[in-house]
Amino acid sequence: MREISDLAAKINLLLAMKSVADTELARRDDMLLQLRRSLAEKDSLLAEKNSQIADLTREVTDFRTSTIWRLTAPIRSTTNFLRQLQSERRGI
Amino acid sequence: MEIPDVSIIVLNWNKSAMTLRCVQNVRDHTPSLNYEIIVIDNGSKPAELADLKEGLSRDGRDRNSRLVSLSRNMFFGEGCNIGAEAARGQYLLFLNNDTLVTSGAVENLLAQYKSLFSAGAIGPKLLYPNGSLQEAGAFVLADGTTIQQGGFGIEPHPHFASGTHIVDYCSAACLLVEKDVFIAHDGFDPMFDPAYFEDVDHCFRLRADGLYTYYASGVTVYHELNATSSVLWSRDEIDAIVRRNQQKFMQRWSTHLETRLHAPPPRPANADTYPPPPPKPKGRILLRSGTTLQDSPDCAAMLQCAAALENKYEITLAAPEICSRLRIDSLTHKLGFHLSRPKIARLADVDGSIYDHTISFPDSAFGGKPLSNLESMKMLFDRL
Repeated sequence: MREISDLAAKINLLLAMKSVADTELARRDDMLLQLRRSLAEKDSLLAEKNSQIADLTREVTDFRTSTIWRLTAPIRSTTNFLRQLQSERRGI
Repeated sequence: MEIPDVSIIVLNWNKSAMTLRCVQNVRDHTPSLNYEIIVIDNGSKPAELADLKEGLSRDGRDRNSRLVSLSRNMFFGEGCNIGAEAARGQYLLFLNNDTLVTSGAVENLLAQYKSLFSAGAIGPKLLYPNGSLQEAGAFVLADGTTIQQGGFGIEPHPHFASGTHIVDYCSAACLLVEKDVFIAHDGFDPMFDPAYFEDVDHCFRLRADGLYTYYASGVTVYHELNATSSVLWSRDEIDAIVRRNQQKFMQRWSTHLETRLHAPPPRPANADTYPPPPPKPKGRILLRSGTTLQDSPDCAAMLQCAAALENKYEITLAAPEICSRLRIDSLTHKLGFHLSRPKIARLADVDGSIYDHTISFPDSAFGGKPLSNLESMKMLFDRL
């Protein structure tokens, strides 16, 4: 009877340890799930930002190939040249 | 007066209303058992104590209840030890005052205890007042971590859902033991004062002697948890006490915890055999302590002095508050000896004139000269 009781005591201890391990595993699974959700949210945010960047890049490209940008090119060149001269005079 | 089967020991510290509710609840839900209730008041305020006395004696309710009033808080383990020594029943049920038993709970625990193989202790399923699980038996891992099944989000294995099972320990919030067995295993060790881990340690000592602690899943008791300790200490202080006592527990049991799945349980380190009793005394000596008897250098000196003199003298140990013999036994075991049967008295109740000699610890505790103990001991030994 004592041997059976000692064995039962060991089994109960192992079952309790299993419960702790299962609880810890469930906690980690939950944490992993949350991290995955958070990663998915961040991926979605990243995709949204990438889309915004693509839109803005397209806008810039469109602008730089526009007629008005090409017509005002001499003015920008002159302005840049004058700024360069001013800088040289100041000794910069 | 009829001898009760079970002595139910309830501690109180400034929670008279709660204690009276607990006592009344036991009376309402324990119809078919011969029992007594011993309330140990751990030095409550006078008004609280008066309420407790009045409540216990109301409508003749004191027929099966007794009040042991202490002048100071001797804390959980010692309060239980004092209650155990005052008990008349063959069985003891330690019951926290923040518990509520369900119908027939005490009878069921007792019936199961009697029917189980080599039972040393048995505890019920503890639920929070809202009905959620607090403890379904408990275990200790090799690193000293306690697993109170159901607590801290730990879902117990379905195996524990029904029946009665061997566990490492059950909380002394509600724990049934046999009085002789409890006393033979030195009760709750004062090493764990003020509280926590004394019940774990006691169950391990029982187990080391081949007695199992059982969890009875079919018996339910509601427990608020920490109703008194949360008034005494902050959450951080409770955590610090638990950590400190966990370390003490591990100092005693770590080797066993690490190897027990592969080896039989060993005897605890301090389990000694008792020497034979001393011959009849030839005089009376009073040893006075300035503090409660505890694990301290002054108290160790006092107990060693008692051991040196007890072969020739009747020894009375006096302290500001009485303590249990179990406490003296635990303290002397750690010092490596055993006092046969010293008398224990409260300082306020002692009549110094009946003693042949009085020695104080420390020397200066009662206005004595430094090293006066040394002179006293020399004189007493010269006389022997």
